Amino acid sequence: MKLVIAFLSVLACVGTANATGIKGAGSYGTAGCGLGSMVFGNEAGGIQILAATTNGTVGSQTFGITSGTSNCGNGAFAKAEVNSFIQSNTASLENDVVRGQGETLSTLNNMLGCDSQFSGVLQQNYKNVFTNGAANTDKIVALSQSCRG
Amino acid sequence: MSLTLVGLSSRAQDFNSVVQRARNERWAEDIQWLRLLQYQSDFYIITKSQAGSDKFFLDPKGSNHPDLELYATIRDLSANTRTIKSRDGKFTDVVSCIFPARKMWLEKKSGVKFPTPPCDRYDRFKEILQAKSLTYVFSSYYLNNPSSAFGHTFLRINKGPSARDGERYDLEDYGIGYAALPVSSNPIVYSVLGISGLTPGVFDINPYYFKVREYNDFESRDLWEYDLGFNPEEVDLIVAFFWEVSDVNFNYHYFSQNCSYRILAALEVARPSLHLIDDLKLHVMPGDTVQTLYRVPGLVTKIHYRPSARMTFRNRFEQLPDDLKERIQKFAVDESPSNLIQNLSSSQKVGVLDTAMDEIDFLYPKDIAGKTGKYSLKKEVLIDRAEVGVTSLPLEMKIPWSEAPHDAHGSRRLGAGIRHWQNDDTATLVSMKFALHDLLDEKWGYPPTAQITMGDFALSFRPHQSSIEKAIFFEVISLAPLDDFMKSPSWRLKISNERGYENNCIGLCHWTELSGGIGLTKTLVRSLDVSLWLRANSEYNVDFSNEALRIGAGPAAMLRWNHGIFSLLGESYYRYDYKGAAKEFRQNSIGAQLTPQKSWALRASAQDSNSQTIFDTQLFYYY
Repeated sequence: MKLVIAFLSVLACVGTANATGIKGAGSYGTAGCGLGSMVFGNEAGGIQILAATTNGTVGSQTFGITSGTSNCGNGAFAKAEVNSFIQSNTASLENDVVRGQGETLSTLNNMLGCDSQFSGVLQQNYKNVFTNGAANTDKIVALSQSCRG
Repeated sequence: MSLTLVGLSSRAQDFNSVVQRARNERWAEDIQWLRLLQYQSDFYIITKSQAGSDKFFLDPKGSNHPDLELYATIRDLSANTRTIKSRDGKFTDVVSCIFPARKMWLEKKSGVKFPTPPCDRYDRFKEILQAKSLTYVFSSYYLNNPSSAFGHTFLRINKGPSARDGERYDLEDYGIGYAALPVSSNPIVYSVLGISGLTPGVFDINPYYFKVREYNDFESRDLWEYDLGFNPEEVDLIVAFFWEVSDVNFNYHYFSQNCSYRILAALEVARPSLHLIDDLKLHVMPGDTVQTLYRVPGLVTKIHYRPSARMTFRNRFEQLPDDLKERIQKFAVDESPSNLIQNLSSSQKVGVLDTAMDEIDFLYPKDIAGKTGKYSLKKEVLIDRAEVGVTSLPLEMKIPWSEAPHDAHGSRRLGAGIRHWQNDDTATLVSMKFALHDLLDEKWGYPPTAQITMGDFALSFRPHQSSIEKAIFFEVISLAPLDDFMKSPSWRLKISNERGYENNCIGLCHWTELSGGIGLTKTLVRSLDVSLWLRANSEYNVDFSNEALRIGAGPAAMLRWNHGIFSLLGESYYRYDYKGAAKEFRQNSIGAQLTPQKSWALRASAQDSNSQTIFDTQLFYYY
């Protein structure tokens, strides 16, 4: 049986959209600035905001909640956006924070309206901010207040 | 009141005159209209739209009548009263908010402005995407998941530079892909539906960072990004088109109308002079579609490479001095961060800790994503690194251009030549491989140590006898060279129907084979790999002498050189059959290929099976 699956699934250029992936209704609903339920609705069909996966074993728990990083209002990103970005990119963000530079970190800086100086602040506060394998968005946002003078 | 009446009557006039012009000037035959509605033409005859949803058509016969659909669209856009419910029943919008791409096209074609009501949801969609440009992204071959073995493509919708600092932030963009929805958990039902095109496919949009995390980090696949030179007007039309198809199902065909096909069909909408779909083969391979775009003059403006976790680690490791490399090799065994940094200066600590992080990310992606297992080890490394302070230098990547898909040989291969038997018999040999790449093919643009074959057929012709010599339905050989970090085995799998000469068969000896193997590969010097295998075969043929079924296993050794225009592959296989008549089976094979130009090659091979020898010489054409 496994062989049949392997053989036949090879025929596809891509796996399948994971039906159990996260749909349009983001965990913060219409209040978020991302591609939330406001745009697409919840039901199957049409463009869906799926936690992309190709083998079905990597589900929502791996990639976290789906959201956008769209600009919300006047160039500042909403906290929900920042939170989504941080949660979905934690592993890469941690690498960048301890190194003091990197693409994920500079993207976060852009979302927070911070420059590269803030990277140093995060590096110094690494242990405090990234505890128990989870990034604390509140602490990051609080620290970023200094960027906005 | 009278003003409204005047407004209505002039609108009716506009509508009538636009319909009249559309009829006279045959707008319904305009290629852009046909593409907007995704009409499929077979031999230049419009058959039916590929969109499989009634809501996509404003005329009841619209799915196979482009003209009626055009008139209905003009009517509804002019009247601006007809509303349509979204499929989930949650939203109701007027026609012009549901079909903004058709409206854009019609306004340009007619010069008439249609009513423009507020479109909250569509405006929101545009505001979120902030589309300024497009990038076609190829996610490289991923053998550990068969469904991704042929690669994958999707589109990135790019924002402009940040208003804050003028820089572009790719991770803030969105990726749009097309995928099949699993309709059954029964793999046989699902596969049959998929191949016959009865699986619904949908577009999905995700922030690009999801794609990067998934492909680069989690599956360790390289991403090749091809910036496309569409102008702002074309980008707007493509985004509007994606909005139109957002609530529509298409049938997903594994072989043909798959992820790459649908994205190319969307790109074509924007520019009548593009003929991307026409360029595709019946079987659409994602890598081929990159070449299709690359061949259009001026369409691909820039190529970017986004390294997989594996390549990131490789690059960082290679840049360390030898003594620090040894520390990383030791760390891979003892996993002790304190030993790793003992007695090092802070710049040396930066080097080894940065590399150790990448090593753990690459080797244990599941643990890192799930924050289990090796994650605690990584956490120690991270804390040590943060304590050192100091900003690391950006990693300089050596871009593996030799694996870029745009310059690879075509996925199909035609062959013609001769087959010669030991007993002086000779036949004409004709072969056809539908996809993709074998160990002797020139490896430029493909994974350097893998064979992925689907549909490889060879026929022999002699004056009184023609025969199928070989039909490989599917074969994968994944050579995974071992080193200090990579410990995973090589593996192979094959399903075929082949002809043999060594079995004392009655008549032509065609057996059906299911075989596999597991092995260890070591790269001796660059491009020279040696593998030791444990292989197992099961072969079935009623013509086999004594017993129809043979099952056996045994060791094999393989040597492969593939570099530049020359490649060589040799294998020796001994098998003991626990079921079957012959009991012992010995096979030695060797092949060599010369590829002076990526579309043409000459291959010579010999195979000796239980002392029956055949020699092949073939000229290959890749396309």
